[in-house]
Amino acid sequence: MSKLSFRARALDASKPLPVFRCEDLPDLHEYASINRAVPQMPTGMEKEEESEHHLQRAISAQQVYGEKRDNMVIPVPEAESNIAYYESIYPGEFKMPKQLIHIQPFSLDAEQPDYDLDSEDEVFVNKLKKKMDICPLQFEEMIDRLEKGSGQQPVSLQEAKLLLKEDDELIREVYEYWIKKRKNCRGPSLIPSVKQEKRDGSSTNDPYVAFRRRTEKMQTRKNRKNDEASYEKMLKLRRDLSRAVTILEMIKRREKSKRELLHLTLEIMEKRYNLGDYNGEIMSEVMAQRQPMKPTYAIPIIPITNSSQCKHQEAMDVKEFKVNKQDKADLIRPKRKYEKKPKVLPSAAATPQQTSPAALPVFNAKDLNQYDFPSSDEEPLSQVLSGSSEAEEENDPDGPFAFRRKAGCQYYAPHLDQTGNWPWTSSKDGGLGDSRYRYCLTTLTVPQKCVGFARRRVGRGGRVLLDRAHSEYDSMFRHLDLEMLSSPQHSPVNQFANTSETNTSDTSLSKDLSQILVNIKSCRWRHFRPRTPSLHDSDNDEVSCRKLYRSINRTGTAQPGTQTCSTSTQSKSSSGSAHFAFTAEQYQQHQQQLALMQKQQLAQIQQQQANSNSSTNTSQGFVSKTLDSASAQFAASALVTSEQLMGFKMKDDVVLGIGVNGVLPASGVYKGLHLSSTTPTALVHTSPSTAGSTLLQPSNITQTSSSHSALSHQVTAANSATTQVLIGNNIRLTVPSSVATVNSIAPISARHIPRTLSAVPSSALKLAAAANCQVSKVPSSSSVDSVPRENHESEKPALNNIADNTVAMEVT
Amino acid sequence: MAEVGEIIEGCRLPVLRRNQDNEDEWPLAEILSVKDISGRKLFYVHYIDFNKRLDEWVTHERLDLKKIQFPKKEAKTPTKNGLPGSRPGSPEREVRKTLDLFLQPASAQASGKTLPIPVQITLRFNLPKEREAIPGGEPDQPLSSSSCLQPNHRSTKRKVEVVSPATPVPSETAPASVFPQNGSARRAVAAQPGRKRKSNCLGTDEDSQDSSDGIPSAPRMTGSLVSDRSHDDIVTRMKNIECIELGRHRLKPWYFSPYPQELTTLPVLYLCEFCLKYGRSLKCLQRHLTKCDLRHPPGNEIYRKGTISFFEIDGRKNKSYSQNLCLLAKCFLDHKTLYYDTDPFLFYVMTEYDCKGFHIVGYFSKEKESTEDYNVACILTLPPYQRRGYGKLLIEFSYELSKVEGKTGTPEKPLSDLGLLSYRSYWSQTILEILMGLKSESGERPQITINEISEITSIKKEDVISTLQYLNLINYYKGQYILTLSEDIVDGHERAMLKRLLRIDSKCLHFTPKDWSKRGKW
Repeated sequence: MSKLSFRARALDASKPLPVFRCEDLPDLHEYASINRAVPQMPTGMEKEEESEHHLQRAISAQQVYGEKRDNMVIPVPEAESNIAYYESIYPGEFKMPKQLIHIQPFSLDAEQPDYDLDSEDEVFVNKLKKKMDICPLQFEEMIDRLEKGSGQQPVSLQEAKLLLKEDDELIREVYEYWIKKRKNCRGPSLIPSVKQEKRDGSSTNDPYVAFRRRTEKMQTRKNRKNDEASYEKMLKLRRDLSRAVTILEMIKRREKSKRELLHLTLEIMEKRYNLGDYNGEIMSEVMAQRQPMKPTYAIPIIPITNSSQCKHQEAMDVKEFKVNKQDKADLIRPKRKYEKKPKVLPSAAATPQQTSPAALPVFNAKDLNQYDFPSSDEEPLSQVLSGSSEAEEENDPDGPFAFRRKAGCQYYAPHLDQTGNWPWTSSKDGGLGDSRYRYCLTTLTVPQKCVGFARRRVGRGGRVLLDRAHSEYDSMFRHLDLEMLSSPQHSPVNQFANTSETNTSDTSLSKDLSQILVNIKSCRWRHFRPRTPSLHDSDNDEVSCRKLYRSINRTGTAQPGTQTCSTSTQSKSSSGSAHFAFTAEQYQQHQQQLALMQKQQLAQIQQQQANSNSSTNTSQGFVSKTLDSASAQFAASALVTSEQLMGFKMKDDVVLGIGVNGVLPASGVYKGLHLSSTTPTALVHTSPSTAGSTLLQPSNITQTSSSHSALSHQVTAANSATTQVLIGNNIRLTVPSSVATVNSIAPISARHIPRTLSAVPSSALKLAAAANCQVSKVPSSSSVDSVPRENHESEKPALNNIADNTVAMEVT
Repeated sequence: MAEVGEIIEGCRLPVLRRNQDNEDEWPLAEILSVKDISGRKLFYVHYIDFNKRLDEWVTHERLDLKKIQFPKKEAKTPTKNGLPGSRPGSPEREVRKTLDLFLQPASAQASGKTLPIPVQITLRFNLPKEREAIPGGEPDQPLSSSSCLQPNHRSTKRKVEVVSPATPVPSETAPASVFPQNGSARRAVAAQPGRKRKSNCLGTDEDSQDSSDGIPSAPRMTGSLVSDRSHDDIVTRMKNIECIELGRHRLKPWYFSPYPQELTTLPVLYLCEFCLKYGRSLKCLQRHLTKCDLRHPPGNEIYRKGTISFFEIDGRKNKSYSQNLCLLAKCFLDHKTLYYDTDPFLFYVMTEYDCKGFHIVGYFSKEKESTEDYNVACILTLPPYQRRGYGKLLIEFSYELSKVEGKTGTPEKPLSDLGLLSYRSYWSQTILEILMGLKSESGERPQITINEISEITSIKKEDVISTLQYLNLINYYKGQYILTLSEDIVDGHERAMLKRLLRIDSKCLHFTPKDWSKRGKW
């Protein structure tokens, strides 16, 4: 048969094998000779065992009979299954639970002694029982402890006494018994256990040593990524833990100081007692002497830029706020005190005058705590924030800082004429009455606006504080046309916008206004105006001032000082952006908002146009206003989206977006805004579709502001910390001064869709301004900045450094 | 005709043994050990070509002294001289006073006694004096036993003396230079050759330079079985536990198990049926049972149908139970190694319920992560439950787990004889079940690929092929491979399936495989 010479094909596991019954293939045997072509597989047994007699017999039996025969099985040593006493040693029954048994972790770690008492022990225990109180379990526990307390050498009696809690007599008895038994014991311990490996490795081949620890790592596939992740987690954990240590350290220090305070207080009490100062006369005398040194009424006011303004109300109803021109660190410095504030402030704003007892300086418990004594968390806070204080807050503008009388203290009305010898206090009050410090009409440079009567003084850390005085003209001052006073810097657009934003268009007021102007112009009224350092002013100041300005605008005749507080929510978010990181969640929110806005885009724009040209309704709520402007902005962007960037996805937007900022030297007027020649080179276009439009932009801008506008809404990583920031700034769309700064630094983020709008609505213009204001927060070529400012990426060098920017994006 | 007193380890002679049919037969056996109990000599015999599990202690009456063959290399002083195994594959034999094994305090001789047969080839080059000192040592013969395995102190000391003069020599020869200079450490060094040997068996080739590199090697850390027998010394070749009482049963161990050495002298070792803790006496067990409230294996029940349940135990989380289970299992599994801890294993314990609780019937262990597609590491049906279908149930369950995991698997090798038979039987029945269940579609002949069989059953491809071959189903017919079902096969299968009443019901399995690779180290 020639067939035999052919080698059969290798068996292919993926090839279908037809299944036949042998009876269907009568000629199969003819092919049988080449069946062996498939190589035999190994059995998987050890070779020498495979040949064992009984196995071979069993295998052949199976092949012969097709099944096992009873006498052909592999013999094994016999087993018995008739333990007669089984019932007695395994008493009781165990009911099968309905559910599958699920073992609880650690449920097995019952604290039972490993040592089991044997018959010999039982005799001993029974004997001992006659003398003293012992039960088998107790005995087992003792032996267990002794065994586990012993290493190679058994513990001594002294050590045993330390190990065991029983009385000495019993311990001695059991110990002696144990020592004797242990000596006779073959094993290393009375509790038999599998031999452990020895450290020196000498037990490597000891067959009685088992369950050695696997010292080397098992060779499994390693997940490097996982390693990195866990490494980072470990780092973070370490950081957090060390932070916790620091905090604890500080708590320790605080508590120490507290103790000190307590001791001092105690001492004072004792001294007073010894002096016989039962009605507190001496005490108050001393306190009065101390008072000028510590003018508690002048608790430093939180910088406005930090926006959680802490308003401190005084008897003279003077509002203080501070223009912060420095000290970034100050801005960031977090204080527990401030965090609590926003919660209370809105209501405070609503009822500004309700509480503060007239003519009483406010001694704020919190302030006292903060500046005089260290205190633990629970004390002042729990006091003021506990449930009972909820109702109080309603009519308590000062919230946690409100004055609260303390039992046992006597309070006297302040001597208004003895407030101290500060240069700004009038001479009749004991001060110097320096004319530099008297109240005068004050105009801020940025934003350019008149804040009414105010006086300056120097606060903590050299901050310049402005004490504001209320006058009936306050509302009018706000509308003072600054351009009329100074050489007009700003375009009519801004003026126009300014008026459009103003809430009051009362004619009677405007009459007064002109009168005041005349007064000022003729120097009958002193008018203080800080000199403008440069056009490229600190954005920071600008922002803070604008905020203030905004709130004033919004709230009409209400007192500015108080009003600022009401904006704290928004301003917090903006200032807080220094601390916040841009989260995906926030971005998502923004996106959602955007989508929502797009739906209403056209209508909104129309409305906005109309609104912007007419004076805004005073009654218009803050929120709705914000939304309007914001929606307009969104809508505008959406417009472009449809116009120019078909299929441009918002998400890509963010992922790819790289904020690019060009420095736009300002010509002073919005109209004259133009981009420096360097700008285009600094621009980075992430998506090709936007490229063209972005490049077009400069020229468009320079042509006319009325026809084209660059609208870049900025959501760079850091800046877009919150959409609220955006909203917050939007409200104050047309701050004149802001335009100046905007002009000076007009960073453009490539990811924002710069584009041209053929017919620019004024709202769009405003939006541009607003957006640009935000932009200013992005670190720009800092050569312009003379003043440190609130910077999200303060460490970042020049922003035209694209690489840096990109990194910033990726990081977040 | 030799005298009883002349019988030494290594002698071969026919030994009377009663087979299953209760007939007397005289298979050839080898004397592995001799012990003297109150003046009566007992001989530990291994029946040649029988499994080790049948080894036993016999009295001289059962020995056919007429046909005794003394070991080829005659030892002048049996207490000192080793007889390296000359038969291929057979473990080296050690001459040992068996009295030492049983009567010496465990702490006394520690590792020296239990060392495997190290063959320190290096010694040959450097220690000519020692060679002289040991009468049995021939130039070409490794000095193994004499240098390392002397159980008693006297000879150990002597050996140290022998070694000492040789130590200056190594300064020129690299291999020996790693030997410690003092005698106390000598024992540790003596252990190294054995270790090295072991690793050599794992693949590296033996070489005198290597053997003294001083780096201790240990068995591989994966898997649960050892296939090389070089570690096999006389201690592990002999059963050390006489009897184990577990619940209702008394089990006669088949192989060595490293229970605490002091317990090996006990006539019966008492185990708690549920937590498997070992105790010296029935009294201890009774006391233990007052404290142990387990009535089932301490794991999660992942399968229950009728009275059969499976419990999953993590070898890392429940060390004491896992170790106790391994110790018990080692009594019946020759190749099982307990060298390393149980951490990388899961244990699936099959139980049968009655009113007393869930009684262990058998178990299999499984590596959490197997690099070689093993779905079973060790598998055992306890002897009282054997030959009743439980083994197949265990195997079936192991494949059910693989099916849930979506993998194919195979048992870890080497298989034991019983393992091979059980697995073959399971594979055959499972594959035949599929082949016979194939329906021809539209008149065409039913066909199936090996891969398909593998996927359906989770049986690894190689095992499918080997089973098909074993059953002689693969035939080459007219240019292609076909599967043929003979009448015998079909009938045999049908008969077998009728007897196979215990089956796993996959609906009763509540098992979610874990991805152990993501859990760090097991």
